[in-house]
Amino acid sequence: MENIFYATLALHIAGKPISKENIRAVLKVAGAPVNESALEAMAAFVESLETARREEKEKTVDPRIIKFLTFELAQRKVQTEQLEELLEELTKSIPSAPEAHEAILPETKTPAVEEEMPAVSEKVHREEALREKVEAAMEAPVEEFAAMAQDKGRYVYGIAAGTEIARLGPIGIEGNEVYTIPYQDLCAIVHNCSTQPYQSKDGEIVKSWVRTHQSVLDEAKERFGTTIPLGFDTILQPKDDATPPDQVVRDWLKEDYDRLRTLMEKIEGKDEYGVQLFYEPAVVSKQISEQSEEIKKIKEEMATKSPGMAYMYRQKLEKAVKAEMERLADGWFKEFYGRIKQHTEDIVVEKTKKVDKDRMMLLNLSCLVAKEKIDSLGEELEKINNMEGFSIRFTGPWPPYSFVAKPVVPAKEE
Amino acid sequence: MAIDIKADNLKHGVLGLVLALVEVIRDALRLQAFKRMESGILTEEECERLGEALMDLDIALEEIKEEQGITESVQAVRDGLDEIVDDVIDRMVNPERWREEAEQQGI
Repeated sequence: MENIFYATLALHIAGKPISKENIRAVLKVAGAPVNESALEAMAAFVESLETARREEKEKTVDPRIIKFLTFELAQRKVQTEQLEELLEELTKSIPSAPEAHEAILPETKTPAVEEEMPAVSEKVHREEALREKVEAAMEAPVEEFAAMAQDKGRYVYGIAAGTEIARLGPIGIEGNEVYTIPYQDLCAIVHNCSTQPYQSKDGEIVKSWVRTHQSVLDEAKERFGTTIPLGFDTILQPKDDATPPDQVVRDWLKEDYDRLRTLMEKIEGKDEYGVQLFYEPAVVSKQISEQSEEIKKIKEEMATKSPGMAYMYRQKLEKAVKAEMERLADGWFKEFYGRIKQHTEDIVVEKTKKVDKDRMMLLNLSCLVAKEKIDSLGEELEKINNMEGFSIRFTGPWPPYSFVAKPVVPAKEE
Repeated sequence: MAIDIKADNLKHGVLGLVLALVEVIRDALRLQAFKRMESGILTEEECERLGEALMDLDIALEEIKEEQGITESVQAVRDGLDEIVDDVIDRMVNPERWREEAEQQGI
């Protein structure tokens, strides 16, 4: 059946449309046999690619392809009655995608640690935040950039204490003049911009924007002290032409004044640090197999079995080790969370991420830490880092992005 | 996610996709086989044959991946699938995601 691949490839290189008829013609010329079901599957696959490209979205796998694969598989490798039965069952369940996913689910499920956690927050770490923003900005269509009234929006970097209009110079994104808009004893650090968010398909440009955003916040912190950081691309715009843009910023400060004041006090003299805790499944599963009676038993039984049975027993073993590891991970989560928490003012549990095969992320925390407590937190983390099979990634200090909610912008009337 | 096909990535793309699909089917088979063994409806001999067949399949798949040098592209497809499934589950089991989604759509 590889002839079909070559024929398809040949058509592709020649720039001819890849259709069933054309593939058949190429095979005929080459004198190769035509495997009808494989031809059908290939045509279905190419067709689904075409549709996907036309509609610019992922198309679900054509059931014809799965049917063919299952058939081929049964023909070539596995000819026991049981497997045929299973294949039949599988074929029945595959056309509806959700069921197919369900069948695979138990294998891909991550340890059930997350369910135990208090309010899982959406925020992610800086470098990841940066990456995601770069992606988000890159995905957006460029044409939106044009048009729209210039200077109608106010790009807000953050909020600091201050009562006067201060000029920070042309240090903003794209060299914009950065200044403050005060309300009572708070002021917003802004520059004038259009009401369209900053978007670009070029990752480097977006990165440089995000870096500038960060450097403006650093500058503000140096000048005004405690600064509430806002996320990249926070832009306020007036709801109608009659309202001056500066007024919108003042209205927001007024509206949100109490919350912002409390926030200022909360983050004063504190920084955000990222703590990610990993464990090495290889090391842990070795420990488990040495300790667990149940697993020892399975291993002993396995040793006495013939190769086929031993293979099935290996599934059983893997499952038992996995269950045990999940149970342990649950305990570790609580233990380490508690140990880290006592050195922090506030803690946000972030979503855990996949790292690589050798390390699993157990905890992904954003910690708000007072300056005087940073050493004791460091010592605690050092202790955990020295445990066998565990490692820590410690980043910071960051501005406390994870502890300031998004601005509650006065609703824009649609 | 449009799939970009060029002559030089066709092998990685198509074969990688095919092998990833076969692996997914293999995983589903293995799971089913294991469940049946656990349920006790299979004789010892049947289990043995099932195990051997699956093992042969594993070896064959590894060989093909090695020969064609597509181990990484297969893994990439599977990681992509995993991510999609994770995302769907995350959205289904976490009510707070429903709210976020509703907000995003401006409801």
